[in-house]
Amino acid sequence: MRRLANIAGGLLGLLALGALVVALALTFGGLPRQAKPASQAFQSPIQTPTQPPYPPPETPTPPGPPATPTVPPTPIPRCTFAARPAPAEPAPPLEAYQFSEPRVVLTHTSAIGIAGWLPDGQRLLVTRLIPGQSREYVEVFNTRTGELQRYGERHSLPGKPVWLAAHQAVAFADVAPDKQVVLRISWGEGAAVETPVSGLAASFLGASPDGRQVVFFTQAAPNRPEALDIAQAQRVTLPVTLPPTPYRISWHPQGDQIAFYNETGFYLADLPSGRICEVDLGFEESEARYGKRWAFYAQWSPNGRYLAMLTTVGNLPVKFSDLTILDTTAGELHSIHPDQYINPGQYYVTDMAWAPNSQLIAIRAAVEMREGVMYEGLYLVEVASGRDIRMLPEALFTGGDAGWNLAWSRNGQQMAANCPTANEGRLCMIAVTTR
Amino acid sequence: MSYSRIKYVLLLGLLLALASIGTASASSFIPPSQITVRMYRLQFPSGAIYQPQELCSSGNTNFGCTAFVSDANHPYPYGSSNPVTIPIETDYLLDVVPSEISVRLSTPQPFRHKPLPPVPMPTGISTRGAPSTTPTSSRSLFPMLLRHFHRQPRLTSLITRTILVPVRTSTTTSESSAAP
Repeated sequence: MRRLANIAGGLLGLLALGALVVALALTFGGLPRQAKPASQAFQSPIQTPTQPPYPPPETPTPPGPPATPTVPPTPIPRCTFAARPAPAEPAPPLEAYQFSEPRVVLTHTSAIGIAGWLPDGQRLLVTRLIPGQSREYVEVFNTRTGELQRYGERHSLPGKPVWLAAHQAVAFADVAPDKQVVLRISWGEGAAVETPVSGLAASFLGASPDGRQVVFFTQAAPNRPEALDIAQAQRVTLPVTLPPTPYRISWHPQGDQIAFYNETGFYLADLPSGRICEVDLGFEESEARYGKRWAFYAQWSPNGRYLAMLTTVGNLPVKFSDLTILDTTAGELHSIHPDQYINPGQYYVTDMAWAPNSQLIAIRAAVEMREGVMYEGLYLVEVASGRDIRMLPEALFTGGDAGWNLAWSRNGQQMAANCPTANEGRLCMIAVTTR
Repeated sequence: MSYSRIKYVLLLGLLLALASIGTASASSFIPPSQITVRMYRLQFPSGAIYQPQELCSSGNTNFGCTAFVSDANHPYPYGSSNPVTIPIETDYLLDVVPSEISVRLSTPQPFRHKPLPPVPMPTGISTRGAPSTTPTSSRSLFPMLLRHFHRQPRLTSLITRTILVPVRTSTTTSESSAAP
């Protein structure tokens, strides 16, 4: 009897052991399928050259029973780019560039924002915050004469004013007395400011390269961008549909594409065909970062081949930001940043400005954080290699929101940089030469 | 009374005195319910202090002064007060602290395994401060933002760099001199 009990006990023990082995095998057997190599986390379908540049038009849905009244929105396809070999154009090496010491050319009792250079390479479109108020001046600053031409005044907003070269005018968003965001057009100092559009969805505008049109979103149609023809005062809804959230806008220098982007996605709209696709910036799944990479500032290169973006992952305030460059010719996407951390895992690329040759990009990146204030250095990045060098290593810059602090003139000879102190807004000019 | 007895009596008396002091101080302690903070406009999107420094003021809709950037209906919520004394429980703990302690770095895991269903979001409420009227399933909701679904329309700054200043205005106000 005792022997029988021993045998039964042994069998039970074996069974328990077997169950444990099976459980362990199931647990660890599933791991290789769940784990994803880090290299794949950034893999982007834009590198697949087998598909046409834009997806073909959708085939009509086959006849069938009537659909439910709520039709889900059509998913936006991923962008694919035909990888074409692009010969490297000769350009001076990074070391050939020389930057002069920053020279203060404008001071103000409050913040100065750089919206961008005018085509003449001499004048800058700027904003100057009115001290103690949430309003700011929209002005054109002549960097040679120091003259300021006031085009208007507006509520301080994150969307930049844009220069309309064809009309020598400025378009900017403002907040109307009824608290709606409106589009204003100023034709010059002393001229009347028009308000052609009310009820904008956001303060972000995009100007066509020729300066004849301005694109924007309205609250009435937050998923359909509209373009205003300035001369004809005519509004046209562009033939693209996006998820309905406010977008930042960057118009391609050749005029046929527009980038719309925010924290939910980065989209390229092809105006001639009306097609739209999403640029996959990657998805991160690490202990420190989790989420879809998103862009908060983007600029096309002057030749239209590259799209430079400042990207990050996660909610605001963000813990890092990269310079991400999309090569639409080679179909490649790279995220880079100077090897400079202000805390472990914490670094910021805060602004960028293309060189006229489209082969270099100047960036501002954080080098130090003291008492909540970020101090930035100025770097030059070679787009083809991703190599960077720090320019003016002794110079530390502070500033405002990303995208408002750096601009490279179209003739390549001047760099405008915000260089404020804690108590005073300052605009600096840096002369650029090559050896 | 011998010397050793006296010693024990004195020791007991000392212990009793210490115990009574501790009890008295514990019973008289009132936890602070308010804190005074100085709120600055912040650099988008890093959260560093904007330069030149700009104290948030009435009507300011810039990053750092309100959770709803550019929304003129939801500007800096404390009028012209800055520094401002705010309730610790409802404003400081929910709005300021989470944005200053990198709480997001440790929160994605639970949300990854428990995706939240789309929530109809009222106008002006979104996870990043941008006005939205349509829910998107990819969004995550964090505790600091959930309060807005329960306490409309009291809106406070969610991402505000704070400078804590010592306050002696009332017995229920905390005292702190921490730097950001």
